[in-house]
Amino acid sequence: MVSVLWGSILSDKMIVALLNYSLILFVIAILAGLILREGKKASYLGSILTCTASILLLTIVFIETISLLTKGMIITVSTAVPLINMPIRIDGLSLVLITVIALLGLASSLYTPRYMEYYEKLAREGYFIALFSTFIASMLLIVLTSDIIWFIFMWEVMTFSSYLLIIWEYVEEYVMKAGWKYFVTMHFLSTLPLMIGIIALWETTGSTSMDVISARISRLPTELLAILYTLFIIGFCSKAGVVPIHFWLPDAHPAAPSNVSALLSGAMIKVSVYGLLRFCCHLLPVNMIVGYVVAFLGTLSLTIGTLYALKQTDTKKLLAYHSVGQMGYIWLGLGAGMVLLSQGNTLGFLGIIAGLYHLINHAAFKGLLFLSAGSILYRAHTRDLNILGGLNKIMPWTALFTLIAALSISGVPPLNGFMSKWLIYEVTFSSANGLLAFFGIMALFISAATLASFIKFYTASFTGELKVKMKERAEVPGSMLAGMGILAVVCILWGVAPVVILPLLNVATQAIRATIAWKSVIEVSALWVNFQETLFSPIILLAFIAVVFSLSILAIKPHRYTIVRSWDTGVGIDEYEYRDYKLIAKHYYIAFEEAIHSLYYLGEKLCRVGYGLLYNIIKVLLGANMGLARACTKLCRVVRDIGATVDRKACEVYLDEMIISPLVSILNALSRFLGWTVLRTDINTFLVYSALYVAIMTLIAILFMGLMKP
Amino acid sequence: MIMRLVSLCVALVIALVFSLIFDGIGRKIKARIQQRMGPPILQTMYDVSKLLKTPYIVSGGLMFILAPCLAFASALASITMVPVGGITPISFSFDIFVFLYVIAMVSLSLMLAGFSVQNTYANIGANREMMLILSTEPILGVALAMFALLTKRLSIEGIAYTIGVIDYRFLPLLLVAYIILVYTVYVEGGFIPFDLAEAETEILEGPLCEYSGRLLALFKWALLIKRFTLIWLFASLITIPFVAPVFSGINTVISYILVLTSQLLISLALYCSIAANEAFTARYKIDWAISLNKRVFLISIIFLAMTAMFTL
Repeated sequence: MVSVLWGSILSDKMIVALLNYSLILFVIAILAGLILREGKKASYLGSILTCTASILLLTIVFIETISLLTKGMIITVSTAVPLINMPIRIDGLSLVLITVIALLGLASSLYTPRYMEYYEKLAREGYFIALFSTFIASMLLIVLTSDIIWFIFMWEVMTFSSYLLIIWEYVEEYVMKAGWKYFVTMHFLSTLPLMIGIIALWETTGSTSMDVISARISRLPTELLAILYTLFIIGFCSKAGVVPIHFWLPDAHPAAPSNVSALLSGAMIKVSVYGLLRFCCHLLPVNMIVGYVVAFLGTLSLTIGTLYALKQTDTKKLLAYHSVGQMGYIWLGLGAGMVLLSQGNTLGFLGIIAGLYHLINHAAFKGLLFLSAGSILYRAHTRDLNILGGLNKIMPWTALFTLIAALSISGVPPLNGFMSKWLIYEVTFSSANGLLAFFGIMALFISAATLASFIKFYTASFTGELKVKMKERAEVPGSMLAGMGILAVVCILWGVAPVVILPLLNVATQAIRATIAWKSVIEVSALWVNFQETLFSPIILLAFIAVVFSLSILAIKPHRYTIVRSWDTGVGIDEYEYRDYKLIAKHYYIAFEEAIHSLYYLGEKLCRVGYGLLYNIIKVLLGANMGLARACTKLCRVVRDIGATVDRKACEVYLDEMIISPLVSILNALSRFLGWTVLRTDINTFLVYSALYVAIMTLIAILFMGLMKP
Repeated sequence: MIMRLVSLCVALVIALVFSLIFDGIGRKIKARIQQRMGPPILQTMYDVSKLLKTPYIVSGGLMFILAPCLAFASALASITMVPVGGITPISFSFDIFVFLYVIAMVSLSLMLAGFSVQNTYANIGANREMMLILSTEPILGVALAMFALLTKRLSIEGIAYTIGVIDYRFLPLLLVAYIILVYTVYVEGGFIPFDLAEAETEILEGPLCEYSGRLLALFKWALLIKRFTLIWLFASLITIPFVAPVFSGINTVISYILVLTSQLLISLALYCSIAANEAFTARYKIDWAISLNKRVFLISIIFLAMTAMFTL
């Protein structure tokens, strides 16, 4: 009986059912948001729905993990979404991303209803929930679909919904600017190259199904493969904010509400990593030059991104620059993996695992950090680290969660950030490849810079005397804490017990198309992580430290204490002076920043390169677009004249209003939503869309001609 | 297995006792060079034991009390990873990166403590410590990468044993790797002229400025253990490949004791020469220290490139 029940739980039918229910819940959340439009009720209802949907998704991951640990393999599912008939497939790689999306979805859904009170003036909570749900569902469908056309469609849905979420606070000018930058960059440097690449794949292989394409890919000429690799690297790296196309990210991520920033930094940019792996390592075979390029771009991003983050004193901007930096670690791991795999070295699988491990870890701690920044904003109403301070007395839980996340991202053992960074060092240093070893050195150095930056983040905002004036001196509400707490627990769990996640990542590397056969390169048990001749037990480390820690607590014989004023060297400073008797955020690490100014100079130059690329593309396209617009205007005039003629001659017609009016009211609601999004996005959005259309059509035409020729 | 258990106990005892004695010896040497009598060799031990009896005052949050305990725990955790007398103690890992990160937790606690109190002196000290780590970390990375490229291993034990059987052509590069490692040990250990963070006369011992009594004792002890561990690591990288083979024929227990003694003597010799060097130098300014580290890093990169080329 039990085994039958167990068997029916561990089956693909169960997974399909869970998946369908979660998709239905997302759709209901969208509809509920659109219908209710305003009020807290919409916000609460929508959050409950997305929350439940995320829990269902996490159940899928749980079932798959159980299956992996008991049967040694995951359940691969191939099915189609009902109604729209979209083919989907769940394998190891998509499962990793489902974990990330579901986890972040859960945490930020919990966080959303109370946090959105901060944006009460803007109202339309229902619309927010509808967009929020669309955003999560689109990311989910991107990683699930096995059809490249659905992939690009959902990619566009994701980009557009995230754009609307970023400009939620549309009354602020900087938000609109940041959103605009995001929108334009994404369409010209991400959607456009991807669309061309995908259409070229479709044209040359004659199919849109990923399975068919990967079987037929060997027929393609090498030159075309090179072009495809380039297009996919540009398309996915610009979405992930890789230097030099990172200039949009530090503006866009802070501009969004914090729960959205958590999703953007935690989940959305990870989807582009999935895209690169799916297209460049699964559909197309693993290639050494691609590997070197990805590893190099990764090292560049982690260096430039983190060193810029070191200078920031705005909480969310600091975190956004760190997203650029930490994504660099992921790219470095993956790139090193690709290089080694193409050379026939099984260590390469470990590189891919390391990259994926850092991916999910980064999702957990960066999501948490953005939520913390949101909590600070919610209570203290500021993002400036220079005027913050002393919040740990008022918000002890937020302080604790932030500390956990800050230590995780800086790679303090045995938290999760350390585990993945450690694997990246192991791969790069033991690759017997001087260049990769150098990349590893940069990663090691930048790890220290990350620590520096997050010590600043934590100590400047939470410790010392309270400086900022707050309306309500209290901890943030419980539901917000719950959202943060889940991520904090995950940060500890994935670090201390890698057995819950590493086997899944190990299986995910089966999706890689390498010249060598897949081999399990890492052994994980409850206690030990073991590969090659290296082993490490985070649990024993934790136990050892805990024991010595408790002994030393005993040794210091804790006694009751009152916190005394710190020593002012006998000068006798007054209250006001005492409040400023602490280093402020902008004075941290000045000497070091001066010493590495040449790297900042390099970063500035690279930023200009990326920006210049975008600027020139748009200039050309808008020129073409203006011509199109003029032609359209003329066409419109002709149509208007014809209409006027018809109008004069036509007689009046009456239709049964009883039938028509419900239809009209539905259309009215829909158009109100669409109209609202149009008002929010202004006319430029449509100009860009039409310019994009021109560009794609032109390039497709060129492609067709090029392909027809032989 | 029994030997490894014994090694664990020996490592912990040696770290707790000799870290204090070595500091005493260092103080004595400095005093004699500067024509002073100096304190007795056991003075540091007396200081710590006296401080451990006195109560403390608290001028920060919970972090203020927990930081010294964390520093102490991680300092002791790091020494369990270094081979003692040729045998690695029972531990959670032997990996060099795990070692690096665990020992960095001592500095981490120091900085968290220093930055979280409302005292500019403590903040400045923590700030300097962080900048020093930032500028040293890449050099340490180069040293490790050179060892990894030369020996193809990444565990402390593995590196040490492989050095003994390395191709003689690589010996000059190996020597350079050792020199770079000593340099980083010197800087990370916070010896003069790199004692910027705890500059007593200048910024009132920096992060330790607000500490007193038992908390101060624990923190000082942790910092001394960290110093000792770094030197101990270096000594084991010399003992295992170059000294241990000499005693390989003899009974296990006797050879263990002999190797352990030689490791201690090498550590002592290194500590004494560092102390002598300390007596002759004065503290750097922070920007000088950073720019020196920058130059050392750029030079070491050249050697790394050479290593990469030769080992290809």
